Amino acid sequence: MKKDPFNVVVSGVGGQGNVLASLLIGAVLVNSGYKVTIGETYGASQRGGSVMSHVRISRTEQYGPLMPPGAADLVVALEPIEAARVLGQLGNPQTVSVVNTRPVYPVDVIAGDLTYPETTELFEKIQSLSSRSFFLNATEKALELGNPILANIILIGAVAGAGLLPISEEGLCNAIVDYLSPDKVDINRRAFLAGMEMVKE
Amino acid sequence: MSLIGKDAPGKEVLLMGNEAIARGALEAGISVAAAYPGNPSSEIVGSLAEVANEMGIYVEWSVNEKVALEVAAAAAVSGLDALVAMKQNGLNVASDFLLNLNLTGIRGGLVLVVCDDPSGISSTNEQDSRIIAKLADLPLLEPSTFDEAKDIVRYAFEVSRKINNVCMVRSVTRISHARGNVVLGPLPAGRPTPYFDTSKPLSSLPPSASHPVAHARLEQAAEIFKSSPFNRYRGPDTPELLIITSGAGSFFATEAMGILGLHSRVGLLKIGTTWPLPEELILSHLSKAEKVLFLEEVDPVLENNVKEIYADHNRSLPRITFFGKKSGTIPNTGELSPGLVLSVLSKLMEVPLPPVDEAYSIAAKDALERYAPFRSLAFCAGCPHRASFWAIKKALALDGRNGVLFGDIGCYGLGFLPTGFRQPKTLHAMGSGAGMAGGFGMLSRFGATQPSLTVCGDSTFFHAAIPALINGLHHRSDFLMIVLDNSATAMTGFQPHPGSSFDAMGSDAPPIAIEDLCSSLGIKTVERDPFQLEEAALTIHELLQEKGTKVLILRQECALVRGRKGPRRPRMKIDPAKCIGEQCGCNRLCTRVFRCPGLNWDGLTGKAKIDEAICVGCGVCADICPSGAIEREAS
Amino acid sequence: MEMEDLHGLDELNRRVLEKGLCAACGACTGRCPYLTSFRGKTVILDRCTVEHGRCFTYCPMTFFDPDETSRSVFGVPYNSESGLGYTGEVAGTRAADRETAAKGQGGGTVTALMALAMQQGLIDAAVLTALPEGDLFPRGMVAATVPEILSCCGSRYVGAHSLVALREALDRGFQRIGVVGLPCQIRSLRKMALYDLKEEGLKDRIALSVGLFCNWAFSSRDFKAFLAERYDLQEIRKFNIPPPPANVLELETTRGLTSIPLDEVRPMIQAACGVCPDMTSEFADLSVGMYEGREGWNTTIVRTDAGRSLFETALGAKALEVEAFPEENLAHLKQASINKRQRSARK
Repeated sequence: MKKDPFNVVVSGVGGQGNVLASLLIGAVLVNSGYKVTIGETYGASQRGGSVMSHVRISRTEQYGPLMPPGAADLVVALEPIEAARVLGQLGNPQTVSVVNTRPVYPVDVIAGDLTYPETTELFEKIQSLSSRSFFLNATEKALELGNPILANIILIGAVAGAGLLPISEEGLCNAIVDYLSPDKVDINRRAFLAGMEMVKE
Repeated sequence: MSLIGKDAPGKEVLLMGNEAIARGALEAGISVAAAYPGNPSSEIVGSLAEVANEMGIYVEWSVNEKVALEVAAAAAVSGLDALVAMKQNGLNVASDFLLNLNLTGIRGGLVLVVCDDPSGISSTNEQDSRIIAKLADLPLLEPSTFDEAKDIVRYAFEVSRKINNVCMVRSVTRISHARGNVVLGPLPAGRPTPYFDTSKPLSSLPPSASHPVAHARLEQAAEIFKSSPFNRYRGPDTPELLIITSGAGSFFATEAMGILGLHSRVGLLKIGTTWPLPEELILSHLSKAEKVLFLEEVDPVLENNVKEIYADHNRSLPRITFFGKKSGTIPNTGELSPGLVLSVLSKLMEVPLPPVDEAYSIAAKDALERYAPFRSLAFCAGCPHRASFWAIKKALALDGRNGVLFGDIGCYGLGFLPTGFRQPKTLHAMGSGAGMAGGFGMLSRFGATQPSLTVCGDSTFFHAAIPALINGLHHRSDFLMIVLDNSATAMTGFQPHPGSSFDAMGSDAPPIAIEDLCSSLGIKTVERDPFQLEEAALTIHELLQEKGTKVLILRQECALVRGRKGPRRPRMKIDPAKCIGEQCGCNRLCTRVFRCPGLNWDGLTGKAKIDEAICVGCGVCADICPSGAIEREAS
Repeated sequence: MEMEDLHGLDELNRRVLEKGLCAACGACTGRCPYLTSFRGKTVILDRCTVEHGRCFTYCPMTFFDPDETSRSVFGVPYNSESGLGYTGEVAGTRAADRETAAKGQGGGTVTALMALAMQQGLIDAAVLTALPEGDLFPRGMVAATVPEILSCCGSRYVGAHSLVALREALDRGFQRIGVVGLPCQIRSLRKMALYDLKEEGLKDRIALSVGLFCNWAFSSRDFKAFLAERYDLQEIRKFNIPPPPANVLELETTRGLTSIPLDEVRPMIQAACGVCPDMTSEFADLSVGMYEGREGWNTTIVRTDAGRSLFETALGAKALEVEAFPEENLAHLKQASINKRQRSARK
């Protein structure tokens, strides 16, 4: 990684596996000798709110759990408007974004009190706020693999496939063994590889 | 074996602050851990529970925080080491016992970890618990990193054993619910056999005798803290500005100093022993300071205590300008953030903030305003609480007397929002809904005509609602307690409670049936399924017409628990031919009013849609659709 | 009535429900998820944002234009001086079938007419009131066969929301529905036909309306509470208001007959009835009511072609016995009707 600290934001909606994604990214990198700090918001976030994990990666320092304004180097978004939200708060002209294109509608949108942005415009907005951006329908791929929750691992695969973080297949599997459980390795490996594949296309 | 139980000294792992605290307790050699779950503290005892059997320790989810402290104290007065953990609100529940235990002292080690929640990210308040340590004459430690969280807990046990009294550790959300590198230390072997020395009874009587003993123990702690490794200074010998901080504040200060290039000009005194403060250390730094900035969250605890030391020694100290909450430099509510600390330091030190790209800022602002619609919190798809509040709303409408629903603490606290149709009208503390409903139910003697009712969760019922229920019953209060029994302490991560058939360590436990308990008191107790909306609503209505204290149990498992184990319920589908959408006769009831995230509204076709990735098939929407357009697909 | 004068639920609430002017007719509640009728009260469950709602439009209490209605039903402007509205023949009638005559209120004319209309295929469903097992107050029901019609009962002097059953009949797809209703309900039916907001073909599908005479009705919620305070509700079998000058409410209980002075129960009368100017269901096809001084008979007013056709069929089929209605009685009925109109105008 060129920058130290390298700041990653993993964002999404409560229930999308945001926390697990940031944990696994962090675990792989700690296993590789990095100092990693992850700041996240818990509690009510499980119930449909926006969730955001700050993952701060350094060779030498244990950074704080929240990054300063505009400090995001990489945004991994499980939901497109959450990408826009993070870029709006923490993005800068060099930020790279990896975005799951499948919307999860806020309850106020469902109720008709707010409107969801038109997706083409939304993607353009994300692009305009990123130096590079990758869009993939991770949820659709995850449903193909049997469970929409796997979208988070697919995105990690995409991040690795695009060479944005030093995460290898082996590193991820080891982290799953250490931090989750060995029986979860197989399905997550498939999701990871699927994500890698998706950014190669 | 979970990471926190790993016997691998020297291994560097990524741990959540709460897991690091748990690991610290294991490294200290605890025998007992107890807690009532509450964010941001839940994972401390949660992670200890996971390793309890392998580590040979006893871990329990207690019925409430006071009992948790009592269980831990029983071990600690018998020569064992015990940990008790709670969130800030929980400390209030436990404090009656705590403010007597502090006077008797203990005979082993007892560390009370309280996790504060500045800004109330997952709480109803943001109280600063550090003040309670002062009130209780107990030593208090505050970790600033994850690794330190582990080590400070181990150290707290040493202090506790040495002074024969409770040692408190205060964490905050940004430590407890964050993760970072932790180097595992050795795990001790062997534990003492508990023995209560009956020749030395423990009593605070008379306080005139026990209180001085508590003070003496605190003095002992102060002695130990003089050389504590958790108080550290980094910076020039005579800094232009001395920052005094504790907890997560040191992260933000360090980073801001780096960004602004202030390491040679500003000194950072990080305090780990917040109470009693290391007076000599502080004096030595005050003597070289002209400007002092306090960086701490919520209350000015460091600030006031340091100023007290300064006042006592003002003759020998230079004139100092203090910046903190009193000066208005730091807000006196809420948590700290990197942005806040950056701007404060930039102003005080007169150095510019890093430049920002103007065009990007404008575009970023636009993204927030136009492309990021707010996500209000909502009950999960398939959550039984949505159905319960729907039934309550209907019952209250049918009743027409403007009944008052007293709310309580749990996921169903979200009932305040449109997701729960704004039904609860109060929200205070665990069990207080029942107490207030009981009180309101006694006001008909003054002419009150509104029916009184309350909701409480199954875990909350056991925690603090039972005394209130009994109080209402005994005083002939007219109120209805609705127990929203979703078979889980859902808000905090599905911990078992006395109604569960298993305990924290996964052993079988005798479940206490709420209905049996209530019936045994002679209370009319009814059970319904909230997913049977109409029946539930009419039952509530009928119970509201009856005098006396009544209990209705609305029982349906939490959708998240169900999703984890059970097979998916029926797939839901919408018959577009029957969906009348925006017209009179429906007006988007399912999305506009019912607001389940598993449903969507397709503006183009003017029809409702099921979101396959979110719907869990509870089927409640099928019952509310007046057109019969939502159907359960045969599996 | 212009579209901009038609509103939704909020306005219905402001103009009618909040003022306690609901007549409990049932026109608004059928199938609407935002409104429900519950124990004699119309209850709002949620806020609805539909601009032009059927609830507001079909409610007899929001607005009613007698002229527009009269033109559309009778082809002439409304004559407020007439007392009985637009009338054709007025006659004394009773069901020819003794059993029907004995069972019904008065002379069983309504039951006989509805049964005949069904037999003759004039209607394919009837919206009536029936007494559910063990209940004191009737509810609306859809009768699709003659025996079902015969099982129904007469008015019980309470607002019964019975037009809820009209919505059910429409939803079940009936195309020629006959409705028996109180004057407020007949007004609602005519508004449905006039405005038919959802183009349900209501003008044709509400094929027959038989209106009842009505001076007032109790609020079933208040009346039930009144009775429950004084009696064990289980004991009450039936209640009846004999014609003046009795001025009492008769209660038939398991322990025998008792009576309550009418003045004691008057506070239980729906406020809506106090502002209602219509005693004889002036906009019905046929109106049927008490025949004062002649027990076991009804007064029948024929008003529209549909009414006349049914009436003549009934005579031809000998389903009704008919006798001339004395001038003196007619004058008396007119005066009573004018009195109601004048009372309502004072409110």
